[in-house]
Amino acid sequence: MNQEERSRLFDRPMAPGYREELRRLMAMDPPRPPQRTGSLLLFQLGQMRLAVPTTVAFAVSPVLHIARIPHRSGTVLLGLVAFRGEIVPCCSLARLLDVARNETGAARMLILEESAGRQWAVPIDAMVGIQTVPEVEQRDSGPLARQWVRGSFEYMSREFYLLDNENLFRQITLATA
Amino acid sequence: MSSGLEDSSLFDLFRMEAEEQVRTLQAELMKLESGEASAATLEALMRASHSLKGAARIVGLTGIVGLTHAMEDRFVSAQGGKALDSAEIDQMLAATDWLGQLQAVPETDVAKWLEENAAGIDACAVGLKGAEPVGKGEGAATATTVAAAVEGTETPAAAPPEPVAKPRRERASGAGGGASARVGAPDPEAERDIFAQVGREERTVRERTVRLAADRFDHLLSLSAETLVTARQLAEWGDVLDRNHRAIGKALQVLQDAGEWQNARASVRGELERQVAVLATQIADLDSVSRANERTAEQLYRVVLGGRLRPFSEGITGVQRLVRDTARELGKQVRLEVLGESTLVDRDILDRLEAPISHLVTNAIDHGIELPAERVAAGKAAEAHLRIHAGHENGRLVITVRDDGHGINVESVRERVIGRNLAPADTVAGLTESELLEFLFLPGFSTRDAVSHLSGRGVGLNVVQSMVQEAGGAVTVTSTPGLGTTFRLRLPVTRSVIRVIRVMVEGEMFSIPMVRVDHVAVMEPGGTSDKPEVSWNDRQHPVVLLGSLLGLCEQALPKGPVPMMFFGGYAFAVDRFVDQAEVSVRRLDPRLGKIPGVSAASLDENGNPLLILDMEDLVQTAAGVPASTSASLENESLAPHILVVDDSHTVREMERRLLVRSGYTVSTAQNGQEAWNLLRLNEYDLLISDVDMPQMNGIELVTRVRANPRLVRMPVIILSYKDRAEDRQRGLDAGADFYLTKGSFDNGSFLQAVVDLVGEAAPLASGGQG
Repeated sequence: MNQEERSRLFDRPMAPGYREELRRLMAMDPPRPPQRTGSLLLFQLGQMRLAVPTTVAFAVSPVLHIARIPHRSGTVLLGLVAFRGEIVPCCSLARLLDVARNETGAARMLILEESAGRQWAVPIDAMVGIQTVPEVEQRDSGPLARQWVRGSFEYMSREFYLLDNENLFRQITLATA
Repeated sequence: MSSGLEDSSLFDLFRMEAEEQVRTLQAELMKLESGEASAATLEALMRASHSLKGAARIVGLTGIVGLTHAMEDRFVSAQGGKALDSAEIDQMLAATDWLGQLQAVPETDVAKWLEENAAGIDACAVGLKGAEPVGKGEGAATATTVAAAVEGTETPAAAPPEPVAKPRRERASGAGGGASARVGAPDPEAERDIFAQVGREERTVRERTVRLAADRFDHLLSLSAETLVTARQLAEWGDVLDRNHRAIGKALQVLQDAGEWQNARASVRGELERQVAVLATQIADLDSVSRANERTAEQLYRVVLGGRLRPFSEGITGVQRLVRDTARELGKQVRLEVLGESTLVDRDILDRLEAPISHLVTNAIDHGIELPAERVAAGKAAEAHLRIHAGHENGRLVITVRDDGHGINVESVRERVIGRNLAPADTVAGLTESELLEFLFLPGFSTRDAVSHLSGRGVGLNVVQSMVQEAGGAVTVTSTPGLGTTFRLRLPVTRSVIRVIRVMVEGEMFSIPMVRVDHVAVMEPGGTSDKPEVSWNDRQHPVVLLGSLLGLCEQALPKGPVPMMFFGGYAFAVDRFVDQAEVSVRRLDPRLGKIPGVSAASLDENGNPLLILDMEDLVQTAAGVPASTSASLENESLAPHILVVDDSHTVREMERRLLVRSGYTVSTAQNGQEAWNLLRLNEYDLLISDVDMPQMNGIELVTRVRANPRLVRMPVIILSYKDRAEDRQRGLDAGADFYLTKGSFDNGSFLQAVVDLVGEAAPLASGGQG
């Protein structure tokens, strides 16, 4: 390439709008690769459809009685529930995620197991099922704050949000300590 | 079922073994020193050191192998007739201290610890060998003998270990050397004896034991307690069925008496009769099953509980040594007698016993027991008698610690109470001896002017009382001038199943341990609406609404008679009494931290969670006891009392420490509701509140304070993260005098705001209470 060609190609005046287009492209998030996942438990909380890995979903059980804890119940920590002869702290996932929902209507609770012997109960409105979802997409977190969601996927023509269980347990611990 | 130890490392297992063997070594060495030793004592010592040597070898603790080998050698020679003298016993105790210290070292740090302390451990082993009088080693060191032992006197002298049983121990005087010692491979006879001598006597005494991880055992106990409670409920269910059966029988009778004017009636009666017959059989079956079940459950519970019960002697293993060392240090002669060593005590309670008993023993030797010359002059034996007795009385564990010293000077206590302005002089003049002695348990109360490392700070007895109360017990003291003092500790034998009174509060059922209820009654409160009171037992008791104290509601006391429970000088009003019951006690989930007013949890007969209330805690909340301790007692009458409200533990604690250090008396609350309860019941000079809190926020709290005629003039500071102008305005509009932001918080401006509102307090001399 001779001097003249170099000047023509590299020193030519910038096309109109080029700088703005480049700025816009750089500001965009690159599309993230789909995340592989395994078996998920699908449930409904208010109008929201959510999922957690079955590795942390220990059981789904009827809510019998939530015993209020003096000076503690009322915010995220709702109280204590009995599950298979053990006493388990019960938290409001709806309040934690800031999902509008009728708190008193819950008939079932999801027992989440953070680690062996470390369980939390969260009231839910309905269990949808257990589904193996090969991968979830890093899409919009919908009405939930981004920090709660690992990704979303479609199941039976409905949008489900896979919760980030690590962050969930961390926030539950912080909110109930 | 596995033992739960499958996850334990070899070192964990060594640690467990060492714990047991060190206990044996220390106890038997004490016997040896007191001259009570028999052949069995030396046998036990030798066997314990031998077992430890083997265990240490398995986990590769070479230095410990050398040490235990030296111990074992010396015990073998003692069995051959060469008795250990006092200095050698000191050395042996120092060796057990090394072993005790090793138990506390985390596994990951063991290698480092051994390396750091190798010189000390080796020197200790060499000392034991040097003291061994049978024959000094002539290069006969065994493969297990450590290098330092071979190097002999070239090993640098190292500091002895800190004793484990007690942090003060006199250095052993130089090891008795001189005599020749037998060194090297243990006597083959002795090695053989260890296995050969498990004779008939031992076989009959030794039981087969299985180690079980404590958590797993607790779970077993919890399940067996649950089974017991369920079995009893089953029996009650049988009674209900029996009543139904009788009712149907009666109805049938009525049906028969009414004549037979309808065919249908005959058929109904026929069916009912069949049902009655079936029901009767079922009741009989249920009754028999229920009784068998109850018997099994009771048996299961007793057996499992039996595994938790340990002899009292295990809880006071260090006390003998403590008495010996403290008496030596103070130049006193004390003979310790322990009675009821085999009394069975719950492991949980046993774990809490050593500290309070050690306090009482140290107190007795330091305060109560005279010097030998003084005792002789007073017509007593030079050697004092200190007696610890444990036994069961009416289902409670009772422990007494009695000395035959000069007793407590009640008049001196009386003067201190007046001098410290703890009660008006005329009231103090009328107090009985036992009432006066109660002051000894107050924090910061001491009859000593001088403070030593042993006593005089006035902390010990308060700690004893707190520990005993935490274990669900009580402590009392009696004293006879010239003859001595007796402390009496009453504790539950177990805490796994307790009797409770169940009450309903704001739609929630709570249980209250029966031993924490002085009286129950349905009474109409008198007094003012702000401070309602009831009279019981010739005393006025302030009435507090339990629901409000637990932060479950905020409402006035209902009109008319109210169900109440009396405890700790207060009457706690509830919605209704439910019943008395037996419940199994479960530990509260540690993730929840300490919940104010709650001590434990349980499950009711329907399997629902049931909280067990902490009555001492509730009494303290009702009384608004300041969070500060002895130091604030000094300034109690002068220091302004400040209530700090914040839902963040860190912020609350930071403010409290800052204020206490500046000499103020501080109480704390976790939210607006709790603060409001305290404000209604107590007098404060200043309120410092956060804004964003659960249940009742700071703005609501300040608004309530300003609307209350009694509190309207109380100064208020708001300390919040919110720093926008409108937030500030909202706080000041609600009635706060100052609005400070946490974002720009600095100690100086915070304290200045406090001083501006309530004035200065005398700051603590030495940094205050943490």
